[in-house]
Amino acid sequence: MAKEKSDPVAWKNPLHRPERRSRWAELLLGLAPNEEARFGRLALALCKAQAVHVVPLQRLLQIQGGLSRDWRTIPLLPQELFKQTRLFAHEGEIPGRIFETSGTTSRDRGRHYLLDVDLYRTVSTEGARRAGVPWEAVDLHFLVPSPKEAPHSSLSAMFGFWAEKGSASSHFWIRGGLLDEEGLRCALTAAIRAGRPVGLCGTAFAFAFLLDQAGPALPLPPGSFLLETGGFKGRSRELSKPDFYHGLAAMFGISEEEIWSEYGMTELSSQAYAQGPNGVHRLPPWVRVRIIDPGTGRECPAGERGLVAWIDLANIDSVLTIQTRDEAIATSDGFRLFGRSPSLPLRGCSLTAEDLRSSHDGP
Amino acid sequence: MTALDRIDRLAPLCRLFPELGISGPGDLRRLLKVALGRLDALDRFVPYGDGWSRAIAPRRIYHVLAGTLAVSGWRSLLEGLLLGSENLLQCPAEQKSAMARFCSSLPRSLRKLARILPAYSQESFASADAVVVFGRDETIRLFQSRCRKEQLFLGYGHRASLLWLGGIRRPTMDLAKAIAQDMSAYDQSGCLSPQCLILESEGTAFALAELLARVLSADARLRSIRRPEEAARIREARTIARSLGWPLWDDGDELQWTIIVRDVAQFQPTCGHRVLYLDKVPRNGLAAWLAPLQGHLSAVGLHGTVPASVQKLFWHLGASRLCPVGRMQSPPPLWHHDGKTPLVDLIRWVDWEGSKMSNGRNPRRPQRHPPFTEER
Repeated sequence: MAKEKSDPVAWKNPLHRPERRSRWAELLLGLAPNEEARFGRLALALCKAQAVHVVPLQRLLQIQGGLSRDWRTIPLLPQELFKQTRLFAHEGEIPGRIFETSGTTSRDRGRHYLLDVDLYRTVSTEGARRAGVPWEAVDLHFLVPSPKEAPHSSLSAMFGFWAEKGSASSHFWIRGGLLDEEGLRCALTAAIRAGRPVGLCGTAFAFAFLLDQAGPALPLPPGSFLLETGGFKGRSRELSKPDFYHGLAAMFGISEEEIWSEYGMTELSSQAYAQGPNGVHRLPPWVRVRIIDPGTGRECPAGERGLVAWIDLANIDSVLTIQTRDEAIATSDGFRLFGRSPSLPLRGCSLTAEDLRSSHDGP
Repeated sequence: MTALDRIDRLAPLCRLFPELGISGPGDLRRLLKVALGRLDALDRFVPYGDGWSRAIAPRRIYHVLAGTLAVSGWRSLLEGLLLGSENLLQCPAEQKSAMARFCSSLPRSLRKLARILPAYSQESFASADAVVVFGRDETIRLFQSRCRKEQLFLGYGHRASLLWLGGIRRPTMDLAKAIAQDMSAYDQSGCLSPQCLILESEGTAFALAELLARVLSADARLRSIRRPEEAARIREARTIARSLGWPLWDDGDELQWTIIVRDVAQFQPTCGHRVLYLDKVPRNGLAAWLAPLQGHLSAVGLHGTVPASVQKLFWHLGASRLCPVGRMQSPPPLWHHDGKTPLVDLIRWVDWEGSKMSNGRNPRRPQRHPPFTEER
């Protein structure tokens, strides 16, 4: 019980102090997968702490008459809200890092303000480790810009943490917005000759680009893996997942089961991972997912398709509960992802936010 | 078949589809006359300057239609038929049944001039001498890039419309009804649907929102079942408004309408589905507030006196239509869609500069056997 008392339920807003952040990280890593009560206590404590300074969360709590004892009643903040306002839980502190979503103009970008990347580093490495992604023992090749080149990319930052902590070499292959395909091919060819396994990680779009180039196959050594993320949302290029994985497996000479899918986003700190073309995205113990029926705004009955609401105890610097536009079905140990909810604005001829963004993309 | 024959055959169809806003043969005649100067210019050489000229319609038009807003596709086809062109229609799946209904209502003699394609067809596209595209800017760019140099191309991009009530002080119930009419039609998906309503006083915004809520609550027509993705966007807009402290009026879980008094630094589009934003924008800040709409503005619904400076601003932003509140969704038959005179851009003119035709007759007189072969 003494340990329970040290849970931060009574803390007002402690999470800007380094020692408290370290303690919080320990608590998260100490959670067991099915420790519901403890997860709930931590979630409610974090919500209370964040509501002190995150006014939108405060307002939603007021509207619903406060916080109950059930973490499932914590209000869900739309992902889009990160584009509208600053959600930062530490008033008076200066964010140490700002991650931005893609967008052509500053007005279009969602921003995730972090006091520090300490917890993000911890959970993004430990989460991948626990999911079974074999990133630590292989040479890593990233199809994204380096963290130095893209300081506002949360994905580059995460891969940067992997590169720091991994025991082998690593390389970022996108420079100046262009994929150095020749350099990548040379590096992979060298690894193949030496029989050194590699991890090739990047956005689905970057992998699709490689497939489109139709270059010679690069059969990777045993122990290698691929990790794709991001899907094809918002892109004109669309590929079905089975076709995509089939193409990747053929090009890199690996089994489709050695292809991992990462689910994460700028506004989140933690990730979920699925293995193979039919894999279910599994969550670390400090994350829960609720699948919300958009028709009712309530949780879907088991087995029904709805929108992913993400409850992330590692999201300590903004808000822990985020309503996404991604469709999924809940499973016993995670969720089966279908991708972004269809874009309605294409129905009529009325201008949409997407149109305004794309109109700034033109020459 | 002459243009007048086609008008006679198309007129009953216009009455069957009142959404077209064309009431009968008179409107069709006016359309042709405004575009061509005379009704017979497609059928024979007509006087032009010191000589004669004849309007040549495309033999085949390839239409790329967007979304579920059927009326824009119907109107495009109607114009093609009025010109006597063959029409190939590339419809999105959700619009196919509406287009099939329209085509099946055509008189037999015109039905053969309209064909719904199962999908994009490069062969059909290449065979057309004119292409009309409705859609997003990137869609328009894509099809334009596929056109041959000699193919006529007409693109209608996505646009935004808005309501401007300026410094109105006492909104009335009639005004609220007119606004509700504008925001409700086509589920706020059309380019003529107002995305926001601009006022200069916040106090008026609250009073107007109350009135709108009363009107919309009483409107028994607003009872459609929302698709999940529609519901998701509506709920998202409402949650964002509540979390940002924007006053909001809505119909709860019915999800038919939402009125939000918003506070944003610049224009942002609505998600549609009858989510109308009321924005307080002072006149001296209007240009900056509307700047994101540059080149995208379509119609502006107006109430009261509109200062010349405000009118000018709307023109510069691309507006092609200023109309009274309540009439935004009912453009007149001669409406300059995206600023273009109907039919004009589909027509090519051929001039005859000799004083006599090759057979020696004066071309002003009706020709039993015209000197040039009829195109169909």
